[in-house]
Amino acid sequence: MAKTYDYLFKLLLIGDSGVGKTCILFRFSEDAFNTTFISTIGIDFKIRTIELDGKKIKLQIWDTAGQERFRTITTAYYRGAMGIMLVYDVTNEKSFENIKNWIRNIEEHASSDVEKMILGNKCDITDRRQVSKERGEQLAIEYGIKFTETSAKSSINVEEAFFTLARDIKIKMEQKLDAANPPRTGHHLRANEPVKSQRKWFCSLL
Amino acid sequence: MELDDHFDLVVVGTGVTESIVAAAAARVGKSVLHLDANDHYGNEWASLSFSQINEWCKRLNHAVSSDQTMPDHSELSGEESIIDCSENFVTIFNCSMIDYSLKEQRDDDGENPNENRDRQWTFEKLTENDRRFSIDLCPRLLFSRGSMVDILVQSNISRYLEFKPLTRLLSYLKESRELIDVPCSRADVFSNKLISVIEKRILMRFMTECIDQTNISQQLEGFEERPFKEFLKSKDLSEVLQQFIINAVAMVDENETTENAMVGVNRFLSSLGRFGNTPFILPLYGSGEIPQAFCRLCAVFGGTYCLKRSLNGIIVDTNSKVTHVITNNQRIKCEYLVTSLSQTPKCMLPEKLSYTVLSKAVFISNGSVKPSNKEESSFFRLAADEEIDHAVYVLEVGNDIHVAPKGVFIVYCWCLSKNEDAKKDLLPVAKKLFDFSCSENSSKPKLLWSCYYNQKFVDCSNNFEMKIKSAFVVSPPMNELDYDFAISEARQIFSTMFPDSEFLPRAPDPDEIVFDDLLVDASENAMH
Repeated sequence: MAKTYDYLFKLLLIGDSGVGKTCILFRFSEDAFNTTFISTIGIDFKIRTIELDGKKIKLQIWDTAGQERFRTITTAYYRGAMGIMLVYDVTNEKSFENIKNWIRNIEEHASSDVEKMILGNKCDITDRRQVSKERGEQLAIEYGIKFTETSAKSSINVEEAFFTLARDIKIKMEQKLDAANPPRTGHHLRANEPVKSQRKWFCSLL
Repeated sequence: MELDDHFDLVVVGTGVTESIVAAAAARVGKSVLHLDANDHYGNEWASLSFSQINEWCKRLNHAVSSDQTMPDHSELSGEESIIDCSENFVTIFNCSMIDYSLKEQRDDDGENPNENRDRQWTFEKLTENDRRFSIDLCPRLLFSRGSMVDILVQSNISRYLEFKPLTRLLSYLKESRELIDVPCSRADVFSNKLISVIEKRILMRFMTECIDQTNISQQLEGFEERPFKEFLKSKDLSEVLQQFIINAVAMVDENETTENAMVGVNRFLSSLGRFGNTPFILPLYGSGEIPQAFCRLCAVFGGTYCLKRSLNGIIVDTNSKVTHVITNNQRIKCEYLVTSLSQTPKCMLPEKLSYTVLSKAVFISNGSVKPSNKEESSFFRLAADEEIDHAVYVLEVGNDIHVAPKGVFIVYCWCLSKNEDAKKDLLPVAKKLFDFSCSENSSKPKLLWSCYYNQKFVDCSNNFEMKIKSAFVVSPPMNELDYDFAISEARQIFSTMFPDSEFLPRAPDPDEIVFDDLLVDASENAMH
């Protein structure tokens, strides 16, 4: 089967419960918004293929599966991640303060060269805002990470944010590909593994 | 944050067996609360970083008395009684850690410490590379057609994991005290200089016969109950080939009956040729990833996860059935309780538990036990001899599967214990594999760090009558290569609790999930 994309990027969404990670994911992957998703039940990851500078890039975006609630995200979640969206809620001070903890968590478990971006979500809500845009920008500068405010509900900047992150990963990756041999990784097991006959096993033995 | 007040199932311990049960229950719609007293996933099946395993060893040696307080009895109704959870069953003991790595020299006495530093793995350098280590508390190999591979593929949990084939199987030759490659493919046989052409033909004939089930059963006649070695002798196999087949293929003791040994031979052969050169695959980043993958599936299907959390009490009714658990002063109703043995209150268990003891060791070295020009992962089985009482499984892994920094290898050894003294059981193995002489020109690698410990194995699956109902205790890791025992135990617990539910049916891929309300949403948008 021909590959329908040039690159596959694994991206993660991270941040406190209720900041709108799943809504951002749905806005980007389905262009839909529904507030009835209270938690992240049943959603593993979503896929959307985008085009950047003539290259087809398949974005596989993983959700936390609710394991952020008690800070029990598995270390396995971070494996192979190339980009991470750190999300807080502009109407929730605590979720903003926790971004620092999430960054520490990433430094501990994710690959050291993972691309990061901070998103201040729910920017459509003006009357209950607790975190100003300036504070968000300041934090991002502190860590040398890109930042934007988003609204999954009003479809503000979600698309742009993912394209920015994907572009940064692509640039980094192409530099690496130029510099050295592509890194070899492992394989996933698949159900449709070609089944070899008994005779074939024997052949491969001797 | 408060937990919900009611769950169908509370699981304590995030080891492989418990995590499979949790995932299977959540998958069929049961509400699951999954706790672990540790600050990491995996319990006795975890993979730890270098600093984590150092702390783990220290903690075992300075057993801290439990700081748990007994829950308040005043909240109990007349029909209820409470099980004290302050003292758990201890499965790991006798841990001794030895640090062989060089200490960084602080003072400058003529020598340039930096020059030394580049070549030498000091303790500081190991610590700097802390996160590059994934050190397994329960090392495992997966047969390419074994039960774990089956269950991962069937349930779609395989999407959370990446694997690489084990690159080589080795065999230890008693006479020459050296490790040699076991040929698993035609190419291997051609490059193998230790086997003569005639031997190759004989080995090939034997393997061909083994694959032909009807033929081999005739040949086995009369040998079934006799030692496997006798059967091999009757097939004109040389001593070297016999060693190959006994230790590397059948993986049994030479006095094992031919019938039992052939089970191992068949298992080996049926897993050959699926993924790589050997019949085994290994998970990248260590086997601690496996329980986490099951936990992820459980979470995706609504399971709630809480680490650093243990039970303070278990409430049972007059029929000795579990009705609630107490954790963090919160009373949670549950239908079933599943606990890992190491996180099970002692008073829930029979006074006398029969158990076997395993000896385990982790060695970190500055080179492979059999140097090669590429990064390898290797496995062999050391047969019992004058120095070793029970056959020892030896697995060497490194940067190839991302569990150690480049140039550093982790060697795991595990066996049944004779004296309940891991160091006594496994130091002879270390002496076979590593250089203890401190000489510069030894061909063997040097040890940087090691740790020995004993682990109790208790078969909880049907060994004892539980004092309380609706509660299941899960066995610790047993002395096996793959996860057959863990999987069958998880399956058994699941089907006892939920007899009408399917065990881990395939989880849909994300693009197969259609949200009804999203469709409505989209069509509404279209109308506007």
